[in-house]
Amino acid sequence: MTQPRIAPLPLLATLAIAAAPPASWGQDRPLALKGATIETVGPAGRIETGVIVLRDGTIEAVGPVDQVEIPEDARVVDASGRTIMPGIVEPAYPYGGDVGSSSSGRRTVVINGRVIVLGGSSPTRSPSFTRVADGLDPFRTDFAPLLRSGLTLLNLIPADYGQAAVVRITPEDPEAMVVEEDGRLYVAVSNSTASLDVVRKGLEAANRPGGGNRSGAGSGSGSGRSGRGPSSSSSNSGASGSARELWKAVAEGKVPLIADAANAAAILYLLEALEEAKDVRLALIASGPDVCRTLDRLADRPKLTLLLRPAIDTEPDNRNLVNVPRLVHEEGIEFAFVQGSDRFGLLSTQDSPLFHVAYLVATGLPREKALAALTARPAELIGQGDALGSLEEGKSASLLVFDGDPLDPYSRLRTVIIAGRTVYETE
Amino acid sequence: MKPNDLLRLLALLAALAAAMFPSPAPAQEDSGGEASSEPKPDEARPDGEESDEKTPGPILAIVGADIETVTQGTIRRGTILVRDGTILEVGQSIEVPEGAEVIDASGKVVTPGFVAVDMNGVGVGAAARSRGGGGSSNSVADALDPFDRNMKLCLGVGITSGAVRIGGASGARFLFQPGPGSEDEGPVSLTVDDLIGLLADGQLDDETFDHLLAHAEGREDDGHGPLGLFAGDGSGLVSPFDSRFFGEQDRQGTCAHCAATVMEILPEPLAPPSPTRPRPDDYCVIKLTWGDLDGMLAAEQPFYSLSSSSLTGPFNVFSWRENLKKARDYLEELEQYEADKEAGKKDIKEPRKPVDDGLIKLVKKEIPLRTQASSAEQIRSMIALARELDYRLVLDGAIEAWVVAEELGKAGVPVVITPRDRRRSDPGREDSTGSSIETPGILQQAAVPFAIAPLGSSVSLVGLAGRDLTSLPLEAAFAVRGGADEATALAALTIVPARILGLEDRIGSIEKGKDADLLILDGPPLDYRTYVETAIVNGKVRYRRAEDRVYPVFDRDAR
Repeated sequence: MTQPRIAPLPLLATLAIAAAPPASWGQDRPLALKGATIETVGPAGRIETGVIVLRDGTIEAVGPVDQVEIPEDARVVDASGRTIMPGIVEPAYPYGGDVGSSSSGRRTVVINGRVIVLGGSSPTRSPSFTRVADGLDPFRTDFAPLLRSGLTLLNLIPADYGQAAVVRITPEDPEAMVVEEDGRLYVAVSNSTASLDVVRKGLEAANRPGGGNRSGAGSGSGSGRSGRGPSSSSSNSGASGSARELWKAVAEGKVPLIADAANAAAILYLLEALEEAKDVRLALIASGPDVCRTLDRLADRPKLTLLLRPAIDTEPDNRNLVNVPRLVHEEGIEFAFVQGSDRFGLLSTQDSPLFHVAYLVATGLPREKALAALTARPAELIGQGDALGSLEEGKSASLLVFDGDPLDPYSRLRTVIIAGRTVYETE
Repeated sequence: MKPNDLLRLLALLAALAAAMFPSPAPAQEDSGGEASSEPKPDEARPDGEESDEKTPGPILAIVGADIETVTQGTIRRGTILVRDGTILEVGQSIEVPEGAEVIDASGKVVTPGFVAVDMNGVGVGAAARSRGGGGSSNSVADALDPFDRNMKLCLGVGITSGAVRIGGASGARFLFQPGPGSEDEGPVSLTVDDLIGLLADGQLDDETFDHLLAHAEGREDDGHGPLGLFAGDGSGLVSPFDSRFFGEQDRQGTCAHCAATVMEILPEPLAPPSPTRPRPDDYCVIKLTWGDLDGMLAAEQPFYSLSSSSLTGPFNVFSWRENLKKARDYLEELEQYEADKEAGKKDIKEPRKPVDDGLIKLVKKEIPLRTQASSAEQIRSMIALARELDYRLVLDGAIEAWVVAEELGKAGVPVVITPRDRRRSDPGREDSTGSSIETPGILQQAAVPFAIAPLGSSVSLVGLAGRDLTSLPLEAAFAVRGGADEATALAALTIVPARILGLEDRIGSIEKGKDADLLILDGPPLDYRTYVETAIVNGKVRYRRAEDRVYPVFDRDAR
């Protein structure tokens, strides 16, 4: 098993980039990667032969070789032939809070010859508000395998309703893992009153002027378990109170609402529930076939971002293949890629993690849209757009180094750098 | 249902005349009835009441087809104008307004959409199945699924609306053996909600879920009747694996397919001391508005559905009487209360509802009681009970209705029959028991309104078996085989079930002002060769045979 290795690894001297001298990581000496093709996914676009200078975990400079002056104290690494792009940002990674826990307390039953694990929730019951940050223990989580897929930042979403938290994957530095404790509001929606009422009552409570502290949005039971970690501002205010604040921000369009639609019918119900709330910026997780069925309705919804699986889908009710992200783009709907719900797929395409995206691009999705949907769009969505998602001066130095075009299936992901530190590399 | 043979004959003659002489024959107008008698000023309505509220939508015109209106005979080469989901005009000499979308249906037949009195698991999501009791707050209006594949299959055979069973399984507990590594030692009890959760998680597949629900709902037609009925006192439940209570023999109720045991938790312990509350099955009427939530839910609780077993036996009949009496008393008290309130009296209490809303509607005669009665005796006793307790009645599965046709006709009780249903006659009583192929003819003779139900009420095997819900029109053809007129058989698919569901003012026939639920068929409606070309529900095309590819696509004439 190839475990993501820890920098400094002098043995990997054969690899140009890995030939980093030990110790002095991002401390004082800047690192310059020279000669690589740089997909900035920012205003600078694609730079054919460029230089990127990293210092103290941020990008000091990025541009063509002849325009960027490499600092004298910089360690220069020849990266010609490589392609550098921003780290992939995962906008919705399900986090149950039980990752790493042992199998004790597990309940299973045998139904129809299959062993089925009980637990989780039912869409027909009222979900309760949970805050991911409350159940998150950076010392007990292990997201490191995801680095092989190029994922650098995860927006952890709760089981079916609650507040997300943003983490970056720094296996060697759990303290620095949590980037944002008070993340976006997330709700899973199916065609059932219980789940729809979360949205309806949440918006209703948000629109009620002050006073009425009875936020009907889910009987918030998961109160602040605020013993651990750096204390956050709202951790003591009680779940229902913070839920109300979140809904308020959502209703005013300050932050997006991340919703997961279980089926096409749920999409219609959700659009109906948000009909009056024109300011709500909806980020909707939906499957390709479900999007196909409701495309004309979705196109009418203002301020919508679809979170799609980066894969070719089949049309509903037949086996015709369809490039849903392309259809969505052609309808003028914003979209970002989400891979968290498909963990198996995520792990099975490691080392050429963008194979499926490449397939979409090969069948008509504009390349720059595809790259933005992996990086800049989701970063913006989860409130990290200022620091991440593109390679620009002043932004955090989180990037991927491929040994060729990232969208070429023969290219391999060689190095992952997060906040200036090499967190993963391979030969 | 009176078959208006005369009108049909007139229509035929008129059509013949029209075919021979190109000049329009005035006789045709009569056959069209009211609808076509004043067709000219079709601009008269729009600037009336409607335009005040909102601008009328675009017009859809279906031209050239022979229109089977069901209630007003056949209109040869007629035109139907549809706007805002309802029928604007229907008749022969109707001008198609400019800008209207025109569907040319020359040589085709247009009928009202068929109405199914029972369609299981069509168009509603899992949340609707756990409705009722159990503290579940899920409403049907929030649990519709307008993208259910079964809807296309139903539209493809012409079903545009029908009654769907919801809930009814909420009291059931499912017992499963624990899997390896589980902390539970004994069997694990799950509710329908738990199963829905597993379904949503993708751990349970649709088929297994439906199978288990079929157990809990006791759907006989799927071959999975209710398994082991066990009584508990509500809080604790008696496990069928508990040898203190059940021997090996009792446990044979487990299903061979899934090894599940389904238990029903009765609200009362065995031998309840007081009259039990009736426990009706919940139904709602949905229209198959594919892709649209608007207008999909047509009605909730169209009838009061009770199983035949809850109306037989001295105790059950006693309970039923008591409950109806409670409902009547409540209504009287409520009236008194309203009057007192009107008079400004103080210190009055609003009476508490002693029974469920459905029973009150039943007593008010807003909805009928729907129950099963297959034998002549059962039918007779149900008629007698309904007469005594004064409520409207609809009888399901009335196999021996032919024996008591006169009584049914006199009582005005509509029945739901399945012409292909078979039941052996009792030895020695061949002339008064068992099924008869002639039932539809005999019922027609006795003026008993009947609706047709297929052999199965759900869509199974994608309709391949020829016995499921998608065989509905074929089943009606068997009614013709049994002596009913084609008009009667068509009514048994349309207006009669519409009346049973209490929606005869909206669906079931092609009349001005009714919902535009229309079928364009490539042949006579009861011919086994006929395909639905286009199905329109609420004025919108929801199914096109050539595009949806649910049923074979070929041109018969081209072969």
